[in-house]
Amino acid sequence: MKKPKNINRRQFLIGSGGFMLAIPTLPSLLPSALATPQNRVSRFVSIGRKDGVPLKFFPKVNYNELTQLGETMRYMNMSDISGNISNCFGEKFNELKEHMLFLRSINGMETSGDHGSNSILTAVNLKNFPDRVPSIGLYHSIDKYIIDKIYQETPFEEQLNINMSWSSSTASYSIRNTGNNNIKRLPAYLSPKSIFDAYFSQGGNQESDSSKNEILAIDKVIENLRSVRNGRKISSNDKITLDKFSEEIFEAQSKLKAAQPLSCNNLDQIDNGSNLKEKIELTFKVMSLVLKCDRTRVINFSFNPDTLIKPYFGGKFHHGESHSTRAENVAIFEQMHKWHNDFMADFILELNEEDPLNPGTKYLDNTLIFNSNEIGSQSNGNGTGTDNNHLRVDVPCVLFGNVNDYFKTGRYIDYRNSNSPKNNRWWKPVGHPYNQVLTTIMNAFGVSHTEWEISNTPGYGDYRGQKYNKSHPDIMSLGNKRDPLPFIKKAS
Amino acid sequence: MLFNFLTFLLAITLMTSCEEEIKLSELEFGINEQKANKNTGKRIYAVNCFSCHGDISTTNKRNTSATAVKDAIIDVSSMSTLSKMSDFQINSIVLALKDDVNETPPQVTGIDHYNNLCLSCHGDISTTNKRGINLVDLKQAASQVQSMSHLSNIEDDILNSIVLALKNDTQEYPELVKLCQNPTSISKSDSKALTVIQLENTLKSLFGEDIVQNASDELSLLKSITKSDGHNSFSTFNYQVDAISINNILNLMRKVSQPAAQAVMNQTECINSNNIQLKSNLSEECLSEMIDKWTFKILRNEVSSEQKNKYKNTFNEFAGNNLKEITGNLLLVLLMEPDFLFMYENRGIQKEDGNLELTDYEIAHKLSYTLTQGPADDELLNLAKNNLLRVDNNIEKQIDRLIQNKQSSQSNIKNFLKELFGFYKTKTTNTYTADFLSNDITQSQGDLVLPEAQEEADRFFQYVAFSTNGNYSDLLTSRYVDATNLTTVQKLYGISQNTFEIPSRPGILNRSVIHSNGTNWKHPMKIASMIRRNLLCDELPDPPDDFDVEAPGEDEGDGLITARERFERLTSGPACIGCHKVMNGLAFAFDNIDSAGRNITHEKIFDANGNLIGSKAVNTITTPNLYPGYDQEVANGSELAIKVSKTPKAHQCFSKRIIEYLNSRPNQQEDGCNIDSLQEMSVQGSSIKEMVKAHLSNPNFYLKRIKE
Repeated sequence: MKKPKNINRRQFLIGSGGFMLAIPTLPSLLPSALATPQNRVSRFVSIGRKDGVPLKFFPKVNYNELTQLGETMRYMNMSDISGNISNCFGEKFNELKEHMLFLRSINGMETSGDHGSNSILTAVNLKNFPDRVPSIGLYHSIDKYIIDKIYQETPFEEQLNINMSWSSSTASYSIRNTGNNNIKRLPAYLSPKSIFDAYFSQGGNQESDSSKNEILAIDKVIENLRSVRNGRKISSNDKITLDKFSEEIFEAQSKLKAAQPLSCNNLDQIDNGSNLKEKIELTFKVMSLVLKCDRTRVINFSFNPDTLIKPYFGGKFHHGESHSTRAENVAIFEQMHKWHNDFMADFILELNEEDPLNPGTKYLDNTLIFNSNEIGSQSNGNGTGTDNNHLRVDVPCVLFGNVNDYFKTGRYIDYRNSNSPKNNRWWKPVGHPYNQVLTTIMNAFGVSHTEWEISNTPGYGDYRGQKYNKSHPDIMSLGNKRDPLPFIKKAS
Repeated sequence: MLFNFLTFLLAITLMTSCEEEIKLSELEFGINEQKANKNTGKRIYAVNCFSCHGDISTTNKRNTSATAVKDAIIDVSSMSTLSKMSDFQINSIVLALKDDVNETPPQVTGIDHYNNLCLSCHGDISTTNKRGINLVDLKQAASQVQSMSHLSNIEDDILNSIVLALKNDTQEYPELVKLCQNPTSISKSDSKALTVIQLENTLKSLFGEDIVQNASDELSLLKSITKSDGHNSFSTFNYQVDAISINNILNLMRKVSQPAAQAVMNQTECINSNNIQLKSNLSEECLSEMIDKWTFKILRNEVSSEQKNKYKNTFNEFAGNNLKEITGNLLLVLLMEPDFLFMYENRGIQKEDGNLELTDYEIAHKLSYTLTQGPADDELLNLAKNNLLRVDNNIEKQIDRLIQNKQSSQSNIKNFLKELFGFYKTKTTNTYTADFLSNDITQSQGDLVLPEAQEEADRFFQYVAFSTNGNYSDLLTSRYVDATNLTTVQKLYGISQNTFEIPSRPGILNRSVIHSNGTNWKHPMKIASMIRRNLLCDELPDPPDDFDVEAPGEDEGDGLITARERFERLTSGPACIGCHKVMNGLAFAFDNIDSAGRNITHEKIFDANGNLIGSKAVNTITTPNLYPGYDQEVANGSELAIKVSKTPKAHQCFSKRIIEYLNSRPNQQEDGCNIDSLQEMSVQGSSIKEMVKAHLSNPNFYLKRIKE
């Protein structure tokens, strides 16, 4: 795939459809073909977290309250969950219920999956690379296939990878197979300022000039229309026609000034904030700007400040609490998740606005935000508390927004087998493989299995399981590895 | 011996009475050497020469000599079959192959038939005492009078045309009121925006095809919001200047301006030769060169120093150093200039009578946009630059030159004719059933009915209007047909690949393109309203909104009824008949042509679901009511077409339409003199090209009176 690195802003805008961003266009004026979901500009954001989740991360709904749709699926409309969704998804998410797909009973099948395995977008444990590479070989992480699809042959800028961590590692969880079973972890930005500088300031004068010039050109057009209207010998009807022209172009210019190009090029500098909270807010802020200004359409955010959160939790930190089984620590762990999620909610709510690149829709209609964790539920054998081990069992997968009108959103879906409803390390993991979440996401973006599969072998990632003999594939609902998760599509 | 002599006499009689027979008898007996007839030559060519030498209008044998033809018959083995061809025949072919800009199409009129069949006994057609004879009496005479027995096998169409030719039509039609009131006054007009097609052609001319191709989506969108697909039209003047079109024009220019900047830089000598990419490397002189050249090209006129300075300042105001990008921004300003998007034509000198005289550049572009839908080319611009357009008949010469262009001018005029005859936009999908198409036309051939009918009509227009320099009457009466490689049309008409004359389908009104509608059911009222509105310029209100056309086959009462009977019943009520008395007579004359455009004697009758439920004989006799109080019958669509072609009213209407089309605005009272003038030309048989030329070379065409 073509990936010119040093294209200028103008080329990028023209090539990627940013032109339409610059020119306010009435939705009704678009060719009908452009109005179809398949032709919209699509975006993908992954927000990967670590250390697993407490039991009360999941919606506060009993299994038996769910409506059964099939052997491996029960569901409830998110809107039927009264009040807050769970202890970890607070009030801010109530507005987003209709835009969510909250999945349950999704299990990682990587060999000895654990934290640090960078499995968020790969379904492969890359921690002890290459020992745990699936026998079939290595795949790229799914963002690569999605990028190929949504940009096609259009020049594009690399996806934005961000790490927020106690460490200074610049390696993201976006993985490329570089051949001969070697991988490359794409670099990540570590701070909002560095992102802003890269996407809005560095080399940005030319970009800024483009938009300024566009505005100026339209100024001149209006000036010329008025000059002819007032200074020439023309008929009264001609004057009326020119008035119409002026009004409409003025209107177009007003929209242009109010829309992204002006704000994208006159942004206040973003720094790193004076504390972690501000840094997180600014990171999400710059992510929102990058998407809205169409600087890129794919973001991977490893959101794991871990020990850095101590000031906000009485000296407690994330990983530490994740391994505690005491009720008060579990409660703190829940609060930590809510604390993180609230930032995410603000970011997602900002995307619930008109999408100029896809007139008549909102950013959320064309942006899929995939929130997951490299560890699953920490619940213990009773399914009530927290274990102190990290397993890829009941991995949280929450989708926000939509893409190509693919997902039937607004639902909480539990995929466990109804004959064996418990799904934790002490019981046989039942449900659907994490791999299938990733293939479903690729499918939603229009990526065909032929584009990722190796040697036409159905599936994606590692299906071997093996840890604790509890996540063996034969007790999972694998079905046809090319099928998306059942009942998740709009048509279902 | 006596038998042979009688045979010889019969042969002579047949030869002189029927053109088709002339060919056979002449070939057989080698007589009639003293004369040459161009129409005969064309027909002999079509039968005997076309298969090797191609179309008569384009063959490389044009302007050949009789000697050369004779030599070829001796020398070329494949021509040996023509060895019995008479000198008359050879001379006729040579005459037909001779270039003659004023040649007329090879149609045979009722007068021709009269001269062939009747003249020897009944004298000159204008003075014969047989004037006013009707078809019944003529047939009776043919069967009873021995000397007229040669008419007994002649087709009804030919006899009809003779009957028609013997009618005193000019006395039958009411005198038209002259529209001319003041020859010196001209209409007030607004300025016209370039149509989308003109816009597209202009952009192509300026920056090249590829750059415009890149904006094809934006152009398609613009075309789709205009009623005429972005073309000129006599019924939809301009496209509506509204928010939709303005926004889309802005989008289009945005799309075009940046890539066009590269073309501008490539074609600006000082930039290209020095490979300048940065604004900072552009000298003042080079900027002037670019602005001088491109403001003239884009704004289609010399630009004042003040204006040029304004553009220079604008250029310098743009930020950054990327020359292409900044040039693109300047182009956007220029391409959104009113002087680019509109034709103001207000820079000329205002005369004492208040009229503005167009500048030479305005004339050049007006002429070019009118004829070719694109801006003036170098030849026109050079004449304009040197103020030579108004001298030495240069305008007329330029019209002649431009009108030769098949791709632009001729297709532009053909578009006008297509709109005139109501098939500018024709359905492309069909629902013909197998029962309707019957065994001789397959379903896949059924799919070709509509496109092939369009193609046949296009060839017909090309032939009449351009190949033979024909006139309006020819459009309505010419029997020329070219269905070469149009296998479905050949089947529809029952003709062969080499047929170039179809007496049973004279003129465009009798062609498939008018009648084929893609369904099993005829739409006679559409044809009638087209004739009434477009060809006779009569006002016709639309049917009331609550009018509900019952489905075919419903409530048929006492058995099967044809489309004609159904529509007659539907329109018989007092609320309808007021208008339909001037519609039905036009509609039902074509009852013998079905909805694929085939000749029929019985109409297949289908229910609403397309099931064949029977058939019934058609009836083509109608009273077309061409004028109020004009209640003569016509036998069928052929006769109707001929009759329309003879009415001064139709010629007046054609003149109105062609003027509206060329002016791109509705006619006004002040256009009356032009209408009268063109009408007179049309009645006198002037060609369509001559009428176009007459209007475009009229000095009033280059004057403008601005509406207050």
